[in-house]
Amino acid sequence: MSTSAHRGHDHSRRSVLKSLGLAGGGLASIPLLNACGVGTGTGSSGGASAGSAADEVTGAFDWKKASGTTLNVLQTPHPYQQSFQPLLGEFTELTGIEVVPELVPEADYFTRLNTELQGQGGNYDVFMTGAYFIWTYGPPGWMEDLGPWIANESATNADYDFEDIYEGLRKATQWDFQTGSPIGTGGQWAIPWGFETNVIAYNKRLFDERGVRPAETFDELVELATDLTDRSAGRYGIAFRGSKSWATIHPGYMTQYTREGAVDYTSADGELTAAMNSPEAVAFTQKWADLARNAGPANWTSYEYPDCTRDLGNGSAAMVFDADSATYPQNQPGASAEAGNLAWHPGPAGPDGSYATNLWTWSWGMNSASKNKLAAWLFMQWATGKDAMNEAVQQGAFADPVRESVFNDSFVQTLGAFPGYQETFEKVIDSTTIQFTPQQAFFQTTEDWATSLQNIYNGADAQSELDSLADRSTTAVNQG
Amino acid sequence: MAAAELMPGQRRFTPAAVGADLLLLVWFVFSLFPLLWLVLLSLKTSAEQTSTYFAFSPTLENFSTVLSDQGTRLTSVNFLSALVSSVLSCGGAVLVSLVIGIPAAYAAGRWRFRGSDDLMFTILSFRFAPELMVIVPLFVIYNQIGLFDTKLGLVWVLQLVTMPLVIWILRSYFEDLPEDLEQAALLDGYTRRRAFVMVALPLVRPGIAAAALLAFIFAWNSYIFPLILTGGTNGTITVAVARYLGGGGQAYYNLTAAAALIGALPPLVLALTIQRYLVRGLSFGAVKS
Repeated sequence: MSTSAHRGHDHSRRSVLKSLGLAGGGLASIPLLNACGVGTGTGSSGGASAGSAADEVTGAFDWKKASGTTLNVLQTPHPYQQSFQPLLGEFTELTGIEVVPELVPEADYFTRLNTELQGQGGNYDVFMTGAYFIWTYGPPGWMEDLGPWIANESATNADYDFEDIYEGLRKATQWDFQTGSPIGTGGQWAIPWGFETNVIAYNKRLFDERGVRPAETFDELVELATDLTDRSAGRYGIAFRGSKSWATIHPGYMTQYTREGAVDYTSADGELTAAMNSPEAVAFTQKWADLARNAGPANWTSYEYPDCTRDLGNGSAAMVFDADSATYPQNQPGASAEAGNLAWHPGPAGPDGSYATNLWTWSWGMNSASKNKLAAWLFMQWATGKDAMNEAVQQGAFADPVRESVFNDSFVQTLGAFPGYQETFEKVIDSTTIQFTPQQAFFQTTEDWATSLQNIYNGADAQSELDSLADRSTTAVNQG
Repeated sequence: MAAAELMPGQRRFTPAAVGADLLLLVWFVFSLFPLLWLVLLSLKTSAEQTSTYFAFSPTLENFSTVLSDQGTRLTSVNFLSALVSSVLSCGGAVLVSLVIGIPAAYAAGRWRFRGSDDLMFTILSFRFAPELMVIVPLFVIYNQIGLFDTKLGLVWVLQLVTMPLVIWILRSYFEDLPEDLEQAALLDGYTRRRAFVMVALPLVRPGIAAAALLAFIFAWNSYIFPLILTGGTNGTITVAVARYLGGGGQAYYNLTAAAALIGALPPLVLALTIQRYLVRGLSFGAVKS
């Protein structure tokens, strides 16, 4: 019996090996090795635009030029996306292009986008992106340079008026990918769509009750926030982000950091030197960490923007230093307990009166592997054009529009019950852009920065913590 | 003095026993609390979702929103078709794993050869490989051979989840099965294949049910593979649920909770349906003779 079992064993082993060999041969015949080209992309890099697909578009401009195309759009759920969703039918009517939107939750959005772009599959023609992501996705050639598309009159409607988009935003989405070059150089890698400035939103009801006014200098802000903190009543002075993420650095912290005269890097001969340990940077960072400890939320090191805006909305935070567009929805009728009681202020000016403000913009980027580039450009042009944006703004949740004409035309009309919003915007807009030095290790180094900030909050010595951060950052940004 | 005799089922009331019971009770509440919180959240309105704990005005509106066109508008995906897609792809994946995995487990349980353990651990390693590590090459390959956003592609990739489970669980069942039964059948003139189908297979039915259910649940909960390898057409329930988390400061926690509860129903129904096999199946094979 055991012999028979062994015979069966030998027999099945031979069969298995034979089958495996056949299967292996079959697999080898599939040209999988083409996949080695991952990441090389087909788009231009380094800001050059030679051989752009835009050059193939000739003749008079016509919205119907790509009629019959199906366009796949990768998006993340957002008030901007929700404002535009009802308008997609109008776009199809105008162009004959059908839009298939795919929504990916915010937490996983960039994982998905990264894989899609890295794989160069071309499954999505257009995608939502933030300006900082251009510094990662642009250099490998995954993004299409939109400069030639804007310049081509056959592809772009004469009424498009790109210059109507605020200058700080246009510059924030340009870079030549050279270490040491500032933003505003090289290709136009994305078209800004909606954006936010980082300013103070405060509980006006509470301020009126206490007879106080928003602070005009950073020292005043520290004092005011500390005075307004009453832990026994469940109220604290000011909320801003504190989690171990790059996103902790970019809103309030980077805005005030810049206003106080500090910079992230200095540049010389194509090399960057980190300056987070300069005297002004160290002094400000120490004060910021102290402010978080004395007048911030109890579990500050896990705070992200929804926590900050929620606390402003339910009345536990007296102020928030974060995106104006994130605090805006809290003041809409019925949206929160403090709806109708909120107001906005530019935040403290720097010692020299600076209102330099850091921004975030959701923009549209084009996949360089897209097979429908003309249709993709028509969609981007429509979505960032005046007509659609005016319509979207009237839906009431599109803060802030990137076009000056739309801001002044439709958006201002929605601001009646938003005291100080318009004045704040007008005060900071001319000095609002990306205040970081563009560099490819942005996410790694900025997350490291947030870690140092947490360490200082937990009692580490600011100077030595930031010295060590600066050393690591200088090495990281000059690699490759 | 001798302690009083206890009747069957009667327990001694000592401080240690009472303390242990209390601890168990605390642990029970602690373990079930997330589930209770999920149910509560699914019954709250948007205005009450972050401002209330236990006192609120319950509503079933979230469930109807998730299942209606309004939910489709919010997430750009039809929840019911995601549910169907999940059932088909996970069911398909488990079926394929059973068809290939049962004979493989039988072979692995019955015969040892040089490298057989290595082979088994190689199969198991598919289960342990971090999904994000292999996802980019998989994505590229799927795009090249046209499997992106297809049910076939999903069934195939889910083999990484289901196949190792099926093979490993069933191998231990076959190992526990006395070999004498099949040898008796062989002596009676059965072929090896017939002995396997007629004798061994019916005896491990509870094991198959348990392995299939576990594999189905693991496949059902898989998130990264469907997130990256499917688009709007064949996306699964896990991806559809996560879409309700929103973004840009707007989070629909109440809708997410309602969607998650609906999404948990199919594995629950399946578990109840095959409960008869399950209780025996899960304990059988756990202890080796």
